[in-house]
Amino acid sequence: MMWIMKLYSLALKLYPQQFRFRFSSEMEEIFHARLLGACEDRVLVGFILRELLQLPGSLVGVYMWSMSAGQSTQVAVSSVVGGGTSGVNTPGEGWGASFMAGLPHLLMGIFIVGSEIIYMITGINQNVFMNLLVICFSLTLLGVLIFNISKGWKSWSASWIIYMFVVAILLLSQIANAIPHSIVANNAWVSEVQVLIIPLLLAYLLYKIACRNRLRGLLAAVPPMALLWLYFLEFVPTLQKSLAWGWMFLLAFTATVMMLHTKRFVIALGLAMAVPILGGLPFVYLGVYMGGTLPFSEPVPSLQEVFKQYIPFLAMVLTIVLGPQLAVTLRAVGYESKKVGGKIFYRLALGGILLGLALTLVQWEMSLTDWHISPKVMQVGIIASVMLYLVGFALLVWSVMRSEELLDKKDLALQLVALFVLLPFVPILILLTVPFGAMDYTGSWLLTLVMIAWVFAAAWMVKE
Amino acid sequence: MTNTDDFLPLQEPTFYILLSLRGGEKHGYAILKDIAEMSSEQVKLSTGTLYGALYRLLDQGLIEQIEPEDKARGKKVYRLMHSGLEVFDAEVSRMKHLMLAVNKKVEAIGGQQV
Repeated sequence: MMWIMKLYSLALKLYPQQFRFRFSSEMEEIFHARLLGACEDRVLVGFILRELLQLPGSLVGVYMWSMSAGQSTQVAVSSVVGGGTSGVNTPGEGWGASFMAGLPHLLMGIFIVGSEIIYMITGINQNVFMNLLVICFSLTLLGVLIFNISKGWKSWSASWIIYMFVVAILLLSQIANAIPHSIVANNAWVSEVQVLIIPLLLAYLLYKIACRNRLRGLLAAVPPMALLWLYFLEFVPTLQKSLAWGWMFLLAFTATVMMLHTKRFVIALGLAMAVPILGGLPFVYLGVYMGGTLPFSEPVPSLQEVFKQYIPFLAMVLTIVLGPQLAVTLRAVGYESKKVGGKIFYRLALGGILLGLALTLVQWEMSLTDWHISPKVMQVGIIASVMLYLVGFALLVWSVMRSEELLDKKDLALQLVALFVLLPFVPILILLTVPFGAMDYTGSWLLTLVMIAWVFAAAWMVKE
Repeated sequence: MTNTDDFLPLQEPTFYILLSLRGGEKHGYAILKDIAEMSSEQVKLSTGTLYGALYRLLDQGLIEQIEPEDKARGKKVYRLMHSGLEVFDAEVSRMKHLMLAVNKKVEAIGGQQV
């Protein structure tokens, strides 16, 4: 009996969170009563079969309703004592604010596609035009920055922040590259800073935004997830390149607007993930068929090669949205067990992950340039990263076990195990996929399957 | 303002739930038992189907959930709202019209009325 109840509790997890919040305890109670009744009447098999067979239909119905109902629905909950009606859904943003969230993608799309088309038609030097657009975009971003500082950071600002970061880095890089050699002797360090420091800063920024608000974390992850596919466009003809960018930014714009308008985390997560899933494929196709990503080992472009490159790269790109959300989940556990040091321990574990990420970037930099770090230093770094993670996590588990409030929490052990397994995959996936570094590993279907499994498991974990 | 006709036709579980609540407020288990009894055990809803339907009906404002006075021990009870009653009556009226049409046709071809 107990195991049937446990299975039923697990099955209930398939329903949307909001639905579970409202009905799961009631459903479990009724299921239990009916289960006892079915045992007495000796119709247990029929009862379980009916529950099982009707489950998919019920799930589809609930999900469909959740999505179509949007945020405008009100739930009538009256009280025998007090009466009255209250809404249970968090209201979504209006179309104006949602449009503002999508606007930077639209502008980026117009800028990039516009510059490509103008270059194609008029032959005007693309760099001149791009610089002009960068100035226009920078001024727009500056305006948005000033507005948000003076009026307080609006929810739509999350998708602008990363563009602000990217443009600031772009401008600083240009300045650094322009410094005469007579002043700095050698500015090769600019590349090292770009490859090592900037991704770490970006990862930290995405994590901090997600800490503040998980939905904003999703909004902020869309720009880097869209821009990274640039890797596949080398040598691709201008028209096809423009079409790919147009499609990507149109997707990013639509998804972002819908994310903020619905303001439901699960839907927003799905939309954020849909941007690279749907937008990235044309990039890989162009890279393999018209660009320069077809390996020398392959005689001709093929769809098989497209997917061989698409899936690992997609998994790597998805770490941008899922990684910070997983980290925030761990942080939440740490904060809840704060009485016994959890606040410090989760930081140790995340520090291990960040160090792993840094080592991945070092590896990448070494494969790109003649920059070199001794293997011993790398080994020490890897050991330190693993130890930091293991010690931090072990201490966090210890603090959870000492925290009485957390011990009562259902599924916490499962959640911790899942986090323990999933978090280290963030640097590992990047290491396995980064261009020039380990693309060769993607020939292994087993690894590809592991990557797909990670994406599903991480998305499931984050959804919870 | 949503028109009553927008809800029609009702799905079988929805119809039975409204029919059950037509007889007075009930908690989930009582609704299930009532439906099985009313349909002579022909309609047996799973717990998921029942709550999927209740979720939708609550959102549509056709029924309401009444919190028990003692939240820790009491069961949540569902009650038909006025709008729910209107929808139910409209569905019954639609079914009556259907039956009328069926009987007219059957009579015309010389069969026995349903």
